Amino acid sequence: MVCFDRAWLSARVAKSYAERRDRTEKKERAVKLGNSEVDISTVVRDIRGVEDIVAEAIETDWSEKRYLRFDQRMYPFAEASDIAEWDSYLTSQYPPLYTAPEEICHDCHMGPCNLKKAEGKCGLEFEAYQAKLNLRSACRGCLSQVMDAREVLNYAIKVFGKDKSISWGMGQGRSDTCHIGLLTGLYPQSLADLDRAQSYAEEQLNKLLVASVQGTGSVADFEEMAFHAGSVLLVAQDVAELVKMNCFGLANAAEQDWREVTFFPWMVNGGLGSLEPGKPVVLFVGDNFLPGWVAANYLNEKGLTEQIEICGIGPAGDDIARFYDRCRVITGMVKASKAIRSGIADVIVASSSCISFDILADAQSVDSRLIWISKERNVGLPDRTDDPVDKIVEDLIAGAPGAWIRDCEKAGEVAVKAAQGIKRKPASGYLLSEDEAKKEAKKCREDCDLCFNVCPNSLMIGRGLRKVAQEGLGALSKVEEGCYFCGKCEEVCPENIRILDLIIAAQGKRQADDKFVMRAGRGPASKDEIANSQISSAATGQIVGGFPGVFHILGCGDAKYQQDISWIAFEMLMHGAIVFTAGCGAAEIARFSWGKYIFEIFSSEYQPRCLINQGGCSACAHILDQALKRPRFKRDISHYANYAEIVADDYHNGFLGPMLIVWGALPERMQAIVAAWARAGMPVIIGPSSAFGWKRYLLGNKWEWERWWVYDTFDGGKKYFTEPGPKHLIIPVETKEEVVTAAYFLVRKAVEARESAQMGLDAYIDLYNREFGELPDDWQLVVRSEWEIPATRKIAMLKVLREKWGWDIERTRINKARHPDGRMLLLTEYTKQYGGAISANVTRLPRLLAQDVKTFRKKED
Amino acid sequence: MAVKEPKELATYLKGKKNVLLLTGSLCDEIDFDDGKMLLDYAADIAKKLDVPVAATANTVKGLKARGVTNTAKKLVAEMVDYMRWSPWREPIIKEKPEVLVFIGYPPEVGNSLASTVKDGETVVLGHVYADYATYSLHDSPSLRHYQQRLEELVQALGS
Repeated sequence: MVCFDRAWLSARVAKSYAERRDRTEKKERAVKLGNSEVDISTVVRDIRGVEDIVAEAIETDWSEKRYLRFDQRMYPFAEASDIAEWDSYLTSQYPPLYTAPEEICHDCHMGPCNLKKAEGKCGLEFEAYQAKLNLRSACRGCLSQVMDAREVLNYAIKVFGKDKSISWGMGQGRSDTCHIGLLTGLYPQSLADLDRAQSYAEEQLNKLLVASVQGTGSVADFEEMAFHAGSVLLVAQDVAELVKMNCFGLANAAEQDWREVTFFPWMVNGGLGSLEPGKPVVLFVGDNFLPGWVAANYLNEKGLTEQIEICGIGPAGDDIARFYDRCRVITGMVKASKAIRSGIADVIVASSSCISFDILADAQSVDSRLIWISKERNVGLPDRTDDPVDKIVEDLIAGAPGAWIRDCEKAGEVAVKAAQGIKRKPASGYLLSEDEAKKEAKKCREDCDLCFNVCPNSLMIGRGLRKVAQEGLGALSKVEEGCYFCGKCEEVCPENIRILDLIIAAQGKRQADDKFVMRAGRGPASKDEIANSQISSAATGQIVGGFPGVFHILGCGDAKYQQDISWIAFEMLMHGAIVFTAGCGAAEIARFSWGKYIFEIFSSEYQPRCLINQGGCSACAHILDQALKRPRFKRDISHYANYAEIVADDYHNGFLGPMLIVWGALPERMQAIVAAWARAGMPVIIGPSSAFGWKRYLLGNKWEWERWWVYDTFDGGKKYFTEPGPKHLIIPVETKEEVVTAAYFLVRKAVEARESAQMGLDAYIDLYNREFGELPDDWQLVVRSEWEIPATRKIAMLKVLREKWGWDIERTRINKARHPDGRMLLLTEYTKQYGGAISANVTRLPRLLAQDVKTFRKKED
Repeated sequence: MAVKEPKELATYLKGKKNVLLLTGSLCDEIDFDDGKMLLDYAADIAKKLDVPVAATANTVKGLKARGVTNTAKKLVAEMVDYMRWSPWREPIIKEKPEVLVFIGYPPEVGNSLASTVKDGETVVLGHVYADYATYSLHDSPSLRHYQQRLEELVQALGS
């Protein structure tokens, strides 16, 4: 285990800076690597300005053996086009499918141009315009979180200084992959390094935004940039996480001994019903957790933690729970408006986030005071940033609706002080009574369901309302559960029924029961935790057959059936998977119980059948960072400024190939997050309804067998045809049952080892048969021998292979198999021609093939 | 792109050779006042047109229980994606369908799916007009209206 103390770390940072400065000043070009000497100017396009980064990465992270056999390059501070070799592979293998296309481009004063009829005046074509719109969505999805990372970083620099040392944790070191390293080449050791990484993210986002508005180019160009937007978001998330953990004490499992993370960190309570009645309530909403940090410290210092309830919605709640175990996590950002209208909060402290809504109106409707803290925009409140704390508090207590305070320290203090003096009705006093609800609901016509027509979740609102008129608010419970308060129903209602008020009143009926417990976010895993678990448990589990895959589950909470995401996680865990989650999805997963809440059932380590909550929205980065560590561990591939090589290495995907499930995919931020996963070659399932509102999917065609192949890295670039894997990169599905079945196929990779392949196929068939009452139509595509067919189903499945697909089967042995091109082949020949890359070291990029040692370096010279 | 009355749609569909019906999640969720499910109408349409059904979402069990035999569980995104490829290799139907008929998809979903199909025609049998579909039913102001239209369609398809 890597072990160092903070003083040592600071000294190391100082030494590293001195070395970097010397190197840059002396313009040193040669770096020693074992017995070789590397001219750093030959491994990057332009060495100027990045001498320090390149030399440091080669010296400390490169392997001489690999350098001698591979075309090693670095792309420090990578532009989208620097990773085009990989991105273009993805878009050719998974050609973008655009939905609800827009025909007319209004992007410039030369237009409008009808691109359906002809290319635009700038040369832009119809499909490329759809790709450009997709890029625009991905960029918009990045904006608030990139800005929040800057906000948190600037505050940390102000308080702690630029030289403040940072690390991923005691259990992590230079070899631990992170998006900052992958994209910039930097090994961040101080806030100054993070400033450099964050500036890179901002610069890249700026370029992408310009391209998304003024750019012209091909589909591939825009899709590469959309991928890049995802990567840029993850760089900003890395920055935010490093600041939060190092400067503000958010939980970090990589600071723990890896044997002690089983129940790390603490459990927190959540839901509207978790608040203790009668206590003042301060609610933090949005991306910025800093006022919450100030408030929690204030309460701790003053001994007021028992007197005042601190709760949060969205990233702020998740982050506060990582350092303040009394924080109540109420719900996700998508349902923020609905939660605020429940009237629980005396004071709301809010900042920008992934969702926009009229927060001031919502707060005023229940007499909550609003403190808005984002600097980039106001929501209609007077700017009180420079006013004395006591004066603002006095005004809020006297009834002022709120204040714009662009100072998080002042905002946190004002919130806590004001909450203690504000007198409001109990929350229920703001809701419709049963009688009022019945009277309102009676206005609903028998022959009208316009609300159903416009509801994005197809909720049967009208039917519910008509029942309320007879039976009371309980009749609206199903509608209330699936409603995320978009308000479209009210807009079309010909009787102007206060549908949202009725829904809030129905929510009030079950408010006391809206409780759950969840494990607070734990931050990243340490290198030792991953290494030890993979070697001693996960990998072994595969060999003996107990570990079908790694699943990342995220969700924004807009799904029609609230319990679905929890059910998905539970099914995955019960089939032996590891499940990672972060952001609003974690609270959604936590919400339902099987006698016990799901976080009470499953522990929190990097092992099969464990459920790991990494933290708030910015902690999504840890999930992907961890998933990309394997090529570094197992193949000596340096990750520094080396994105394509890391993600194109199929070996790591073959064993623990993770995939992402997004259940509730409404905000555009999720499009950027998904782009980051897809760019890493990891399949993504999105759903339910909101996912079909996305403009672009990346689908593969499993029946086009000629398109599925890999290169053997060490066999001179020999091409092997394989099973389709991963079958899709981004696919929308409709139901939770489709998620769990599709996931066990999508998680398969072309080089899947036999035992894990058998485990995955068993889970796939088991779930498919249970949910749909039949065998899937594609399981035969992944059978490469009888050894991959689950023993308990072997007889039945071999029978299907013989009768439906015409394979030659003798008892329990396959003599001949039918190749997808129709030929019958002896099994030995079949395996060579289809699926011959089992457990091989493979890649998809010609540049990443191993070269002949002598000729390769000679050629270079 | 065009609205058709149920009777016109029935005539149009009966005149097509390669029709593929796709049944979505709302088939299992929309129940009308008389207790009939949308899935009942989907099954009636499949049987009367005698066409294969790509049963998406969780509809396959219910379709089989209603006597639809030429059906298999599929993912709807895969089905519309295959329309981009030649030759057609998806085993649910031998040749590339001339027409995809969507029933049981939320309005935005049905419309979005129809918008992806370029090499073929689309019909969306939803309760809301789908402007990307080749043909669609009118907006139905209520579920009762929607049911009436489906009844008319099934009747017009004959026995």
